[in-house]
Amino acid sequence: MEPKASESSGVDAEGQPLGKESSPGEPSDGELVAQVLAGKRDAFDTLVGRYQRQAVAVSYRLLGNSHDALEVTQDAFLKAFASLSTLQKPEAFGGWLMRIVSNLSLNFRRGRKTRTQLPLDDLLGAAGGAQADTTGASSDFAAQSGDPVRRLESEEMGRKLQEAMAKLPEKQRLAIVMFAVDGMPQKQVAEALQCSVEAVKWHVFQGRKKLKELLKDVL
Amino acid sequence: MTEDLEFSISQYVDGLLPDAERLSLELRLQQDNGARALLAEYRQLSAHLANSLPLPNVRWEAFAQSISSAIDAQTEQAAHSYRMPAWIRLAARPLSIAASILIFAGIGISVYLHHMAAVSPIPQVAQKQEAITSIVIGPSETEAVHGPAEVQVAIGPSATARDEPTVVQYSGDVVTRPSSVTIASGVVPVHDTIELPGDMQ
Repeated sequence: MEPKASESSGVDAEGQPLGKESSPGEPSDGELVAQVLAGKRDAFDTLVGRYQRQAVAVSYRLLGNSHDALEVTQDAFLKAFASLSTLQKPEAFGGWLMRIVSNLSLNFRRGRKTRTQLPLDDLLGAAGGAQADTTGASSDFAAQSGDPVRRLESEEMGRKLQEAMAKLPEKQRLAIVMFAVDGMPQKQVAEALQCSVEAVKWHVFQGRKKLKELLKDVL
Repeated sequence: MTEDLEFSISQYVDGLLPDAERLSLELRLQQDNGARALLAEYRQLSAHLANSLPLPNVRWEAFAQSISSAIDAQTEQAAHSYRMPAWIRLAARPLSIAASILIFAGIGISVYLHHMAAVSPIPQVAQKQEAITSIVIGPSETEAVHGPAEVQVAIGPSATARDEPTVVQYSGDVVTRPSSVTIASGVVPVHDTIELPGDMQ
């Protein structure tokens, strides 16, 4: 019996990985942060390109609305740029950014403030907006399969999963979203949640256990 | 089913179990139907979490450009807002504290002086009388040598004060004067208006 590597997808709707590790030859996060602090503004665009998918994914899982997720993600990058000099471990930029994203998302959700909405419609693909804002949206593989029964089942499961995840304690929900749903490395999740890797493992386990109970009728 | 076993199964699904524990769990799974059922449930849940929650279809390049423009706008806005240099702010801090102390000390002293003035006012009338009044009792210098005893009473500035205009000007401020003066001597004074007792005459 072979164990599976993490079954989390960690890819976006186009199959691109959510969070890119720096490839050999590419500057690391720490090097890019140092370049930005030295005045090389373009280096931050590279960080945006590297983490925007992951940031939107985390925010979207927590908010369930694509417009809100894009707005919060943009705010998070602005905040990260403005306070980059306070980042103590430049190599931990990814975890630090996800902490900003999750904090802003949770604050946004608590407040649900009525703000002037940014003109973000043109940033969403043709099917993306409509697909994204239905909590029981179909999964990519189901949508692509063309099997309507399977797609409906997947939509129903997605809706129930969202409802069940909303009932989890905050840390467990964040750990599940970042690790089990979006496939972030545990170390990065630990940095985002400001806890140890062992604590992340425990939060993920406890979250899954509760989800299993909440979804026992459909699993 | 113990929680330790369930935790190990959760880690096994993620592929994060150390080799020794993985081999031990696999042995257990071969013999334990309940453990195998649990593993199936965790795998199913894990697959649903990974695949049943789609992401919005975002135009990533446009979104990155939007973030970049927002950062530029923020940077430009920050550059236009004046901020006092750090060294001035550092230098101004002790100065502002010293100024505050001086202001409070000044207010305190002022209040104290007003309070003391109210508690023990300076007797201005007495001061003025002392300054401007001169009373001489006794014979004039000529009569003391040659004639009978005569009393001379003078009320007003002294001879010295009369010659000093800066002192004399206060003479008008004398508030009280004796209504009459009684002089007793061996002879009846010519100008005295009070009758003396019989044994004195």
